[in-house]
Amino acid sequence: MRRMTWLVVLVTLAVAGTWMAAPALSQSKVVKIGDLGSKVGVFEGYGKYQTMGMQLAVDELNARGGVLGHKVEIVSEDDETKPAPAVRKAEKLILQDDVKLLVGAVSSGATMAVMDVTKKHKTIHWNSVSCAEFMRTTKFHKYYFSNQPDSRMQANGLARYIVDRMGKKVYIFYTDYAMGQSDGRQFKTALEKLGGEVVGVAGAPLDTKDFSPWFGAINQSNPDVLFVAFAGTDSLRLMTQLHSFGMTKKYKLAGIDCFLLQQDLPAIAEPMEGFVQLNHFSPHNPDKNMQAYNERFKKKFGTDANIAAGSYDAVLFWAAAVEKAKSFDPDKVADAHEGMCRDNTHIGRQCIRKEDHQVVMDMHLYQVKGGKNLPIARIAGNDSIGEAMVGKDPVEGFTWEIKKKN
Amino acid sequence: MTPLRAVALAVLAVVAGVAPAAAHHTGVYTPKDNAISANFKQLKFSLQAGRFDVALRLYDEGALRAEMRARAAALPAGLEARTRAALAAHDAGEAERGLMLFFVALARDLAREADRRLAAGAAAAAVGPRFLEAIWRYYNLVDFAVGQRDPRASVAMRLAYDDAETLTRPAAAASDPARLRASFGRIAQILSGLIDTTTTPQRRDS
Repeated sequence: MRRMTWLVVLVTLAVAGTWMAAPALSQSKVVKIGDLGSKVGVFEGYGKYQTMGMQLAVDELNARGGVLGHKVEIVSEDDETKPAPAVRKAEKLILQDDVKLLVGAVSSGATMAVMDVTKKHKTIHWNSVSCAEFMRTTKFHKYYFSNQPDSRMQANGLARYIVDRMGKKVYIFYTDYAMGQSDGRQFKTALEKLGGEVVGVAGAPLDTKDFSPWFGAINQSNPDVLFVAFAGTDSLRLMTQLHSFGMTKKYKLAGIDCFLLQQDLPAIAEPMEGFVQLNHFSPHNPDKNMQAYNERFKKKFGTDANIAAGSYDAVLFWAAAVEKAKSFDPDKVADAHEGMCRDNTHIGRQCIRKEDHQVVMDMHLYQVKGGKNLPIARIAGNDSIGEAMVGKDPVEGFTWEIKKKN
Repeated sequence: MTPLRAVALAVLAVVAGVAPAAAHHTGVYTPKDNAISANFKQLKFSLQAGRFDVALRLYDEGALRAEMRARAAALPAGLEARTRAALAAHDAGEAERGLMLFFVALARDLAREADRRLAAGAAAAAVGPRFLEAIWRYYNLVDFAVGQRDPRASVAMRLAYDDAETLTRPAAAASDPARLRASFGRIAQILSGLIDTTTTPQRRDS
């Protein structure tokens, strides 16, 4: 009898062991996904956090059996923040590593260059950091998806808040090359649609060291709000100079999230005090979804998440689409993405708009206080996404001409 | 600095495969790798993947450690051994700090050497772009690590580099070598301060 009992116990353990081992055995198959971005250098703050967000998602997927019974593995590549290496590495990821998903890049120039590669090789491509307006319009292709609010979405959201809460008279000061022109014209278009008045515009050449020659014109036009569209060291220098001329106290200042690297904020906290910008993630936001995400992120990596958090959701969207399509076939997976919604993302509910594959999601406006981005308003996703404009110039017919109001 | 060290630095700057620093948006621009920066990237990616065994091998056999040993006298005491110990102990944070200090010191010494050459009457148009390119090659590798420990130094360094880069353009360098010297001096000063404040390991609360 005793021997029989032992036999039953052993058989039970063997069966249980086989059952428990099943997910591990089925995961002998592997599917690779590509992580492309700035992994070394000034923009590492985005590229590194993109990798971490993807890793968090992959850990969760693999813990519940992977995707279609495949264990998910990440292959990371450094694109050196330049289009040419980005294209080279994207081709390596697709042709050599056979990735079924590519997430990246960080800079808009690199991302747009990579879009040509993902289109050519029919590879699902998610963008979670770059914010140029052309990716869901003139550069759009079937396999491209984005959960990064682009400059048009940010301009729409920011303009609404500015007109409602900060003042109707706005001066637009931008860096006079692609990025600044794009942000400036998106913002001007959005502001004028909402009844705001652009009282002045000026473009300063890239690498301007002394911005003070423009300050006279800004003061003369007496705006309620100064909208600034700069990036990199130009932003740092501009804010320092505006501050030393007392203009950060005199005017309300606003800009989009590309204005300043998140990691630079503590170093330039005083000039940035009161600055308003639209963003989709901050670890200081009490929103329960952001806090839940940040808690998991911090538990794994020992640090707060940042605005590259979208890479986490990109991987989970892709995995859900693969499961829905029951295939890794890119055409089937792309189709399965369209219209898909997911709850409990890092920012709550997100849905992929069928027409331009842009994720519709609420965005948050932040104001810098004591070197931290603190939330001040929430903008509904439908109020900021704008109409789908695949294949069209989103600001066709745009003019910098100032429409004077009486 | 010994004459030997000055020569070594000069060779380093030239071997670094330099081309004149072109106008760029600071941060987007990245110079071509040399053996040291390439070794660093391999090491860094191994660390990020949690492959400490690979990282340690790359460190032991690579150009980075050889350079660290050759320049030991100009580096914080025991840096090479402490970095190796951190890798062996699987302490990624401490290894990253050691590597950061090494590249910051390399960039600082290049800035000092550039200043010295300009003071000796070397042509600014020849010295400026070459040294600046070499400085950025090394500093850019660790800017994020610097920013996490001292955000002000990271911002100050990028602004100082940006200023110097403007002054190395042919017309500016020819007209104002004194300002270019001051710019290299500022870079050296920022990086020296950074080495002073980050050489001691910080106590961790968690």
